[in-house]
Amino acid sequence: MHTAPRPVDALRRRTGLAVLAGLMLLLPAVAGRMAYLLHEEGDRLRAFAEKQQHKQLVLPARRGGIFDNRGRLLAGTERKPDVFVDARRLFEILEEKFPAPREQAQKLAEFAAATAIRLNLPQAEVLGKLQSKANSRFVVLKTRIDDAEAEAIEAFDHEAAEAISLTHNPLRSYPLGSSMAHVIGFVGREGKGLEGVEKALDDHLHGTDGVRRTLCTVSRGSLDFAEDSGREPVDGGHVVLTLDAEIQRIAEEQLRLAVEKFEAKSAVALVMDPNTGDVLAMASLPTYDLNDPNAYPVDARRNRAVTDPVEPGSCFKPFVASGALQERFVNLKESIDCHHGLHFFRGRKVRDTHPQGWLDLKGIIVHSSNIGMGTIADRMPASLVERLVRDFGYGQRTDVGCPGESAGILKPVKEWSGYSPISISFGQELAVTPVQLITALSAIVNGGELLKPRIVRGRLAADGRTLDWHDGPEVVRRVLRKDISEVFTTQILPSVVDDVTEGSLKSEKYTTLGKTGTAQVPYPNRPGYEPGAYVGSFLGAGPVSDPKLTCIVMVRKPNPAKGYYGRTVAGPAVKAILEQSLEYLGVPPDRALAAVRTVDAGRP
Amino acid sequence: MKPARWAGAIVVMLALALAVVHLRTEQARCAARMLKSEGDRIALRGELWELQASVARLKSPVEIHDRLRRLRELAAAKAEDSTVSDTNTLTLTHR
Repeated sequence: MHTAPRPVDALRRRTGLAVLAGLMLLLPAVAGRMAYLLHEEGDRLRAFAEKQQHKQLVLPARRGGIFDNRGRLLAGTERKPDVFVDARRLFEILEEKFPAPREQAQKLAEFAAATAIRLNLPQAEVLGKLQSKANSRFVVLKTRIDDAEAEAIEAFDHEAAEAISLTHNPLRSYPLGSSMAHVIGFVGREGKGLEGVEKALDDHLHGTDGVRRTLCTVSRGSLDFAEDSGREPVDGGHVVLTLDAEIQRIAEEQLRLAVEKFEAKSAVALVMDPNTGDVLAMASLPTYDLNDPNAYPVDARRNRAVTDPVEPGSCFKPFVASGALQERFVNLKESIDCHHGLHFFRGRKVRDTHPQGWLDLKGIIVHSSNIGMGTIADRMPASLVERLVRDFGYGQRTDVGCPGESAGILKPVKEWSGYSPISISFGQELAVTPVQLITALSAIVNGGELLKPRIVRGRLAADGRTLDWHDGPEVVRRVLRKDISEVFTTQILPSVVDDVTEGSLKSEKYTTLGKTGTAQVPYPNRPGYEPGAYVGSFLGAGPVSDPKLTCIVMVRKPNPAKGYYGRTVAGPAVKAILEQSLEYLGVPPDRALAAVRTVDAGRP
Repeated sequence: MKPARWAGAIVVMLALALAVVHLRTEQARCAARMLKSEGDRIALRGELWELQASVARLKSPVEIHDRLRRLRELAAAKAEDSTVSDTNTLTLTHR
């Protein structure tokens, strides 16, 4: 029996159909929105979710260390905190909490004062920084703060304390401060080497930071490792230098004493092992603190031992003289007329500071006679003088390993005048760097071989594996025969130290040799010399029987009233450096032994 | 199925659910511990670097010579003090 639907059922069915129809109509809208979100907004929303659900933890890599030849750390990494203020947030907080502008200004001043006290900074400086960078989210107030300052900042109690924070970035630290500053160099805030070894070997030293990706909670706490958990940090490799921090200290101390005593503008000291070419000390004054390089003028950062060529003056004489002796343009027994201090070569007047009559080669070097040296050079062809000088490494970079090295100035022989060989023989008309001079002196005293000087002993991987290591000498060329080298090392150059009584540089412990030099300083931009401006130099080595060290000290622009001759301003420093360094290296004193040998030799 | 079996099945399922929850919790705890260790390792590396730099500062030849000089001065001052006190003692004895 068919019964008519009840009105309630019909109503239900109609309502159901209506809802269904509504849902059917809504479905395309939902699908459309989904398609829009997927295709149009998908990337943005995925990135947003990724940012919200994951966080990255930076695993800092360590920049490789720089060590001296005895393993002392010269450049390492520290995690000293920097203090910064989110200035925009600070001003937002002040506006939210203190609507009145006057009150805001008062609270800002309070904030600056409280911060300044905690960081030992002037309040005006802090306030000025905050006001001038009000929109910045990162205003650095102080870098490398100490533990007490960090604790004070962490315990900072102020309405706007959340705007101040600490960052713990790895920072390059130089435990020896200004020692070896010109050799080591420094890195910029981004961790890139800007000077010295830091710059030259930046590719080897720098590391690559790692990243750890984690899933995080809504409060940004780490929950679990993400599927792609990031990458491990790669530490930088290490560098071992040939320099010795103790010999460097000795050189720096003696250089400072010389500069203070003679009120000089600048000075350079170098110490080298003549048998390997290893540079053991390289000091320049003025210097700077590697931990705060920007507080010093750019001029103080110049490594004068390699960047500043100077006219060498008389300390250049042994190089031409030894070549002349080897090429038989002079012999040891010959006497040369030194014309009592005044002579004309090719129409140009040459003077001697200490006028002499007839001198042999040793006398010419000991009394530093320009006329005697000029007479010898005048016998030699210009091309031979040029070859000898170039053979000693002048006019070309030594590639010692320091950035910005100068090749010096040595004109090609075709540009020379007839007078050039004469002036070059006593160290004029050319400019050389201190590192060229000490390398050439090492060639004279080591048996006649020019060695490649170096400041880098080797490179190590981050885990300490040796990548490359240089122990032995790297011979560039032979410049002198052994017998000529021996004559200069044991007879001629020791006399410069031993036979002069005035201003004696004789060491009581070691037999040493040397050569003085005093040169005028040429004008930088025009011909001629600055009146009263000199460079006093002294080249030295010891012990005479088997030289273990060579040393050069150059003192630029000393106060002439205090002294300017190389023997006076640089000689005592070389004597002290050689004496103390040889003692430190454990070389037995040989002065007493040499005296016994002399007495024995005199016996019938 | 008898009620006892139902009850048994429910207990087993409950135990399984609890085990899963426990495992998940432990996993989260382990992950948190590993993350903390990672953070500690970074902090320790930083501390190690700082200590190495501090040791290097103490071993620097300039520092060593400074300390030596200070010790010498101290020793000299002490020696002077003891001489003065000895002299005083002698003076008193003579009196």
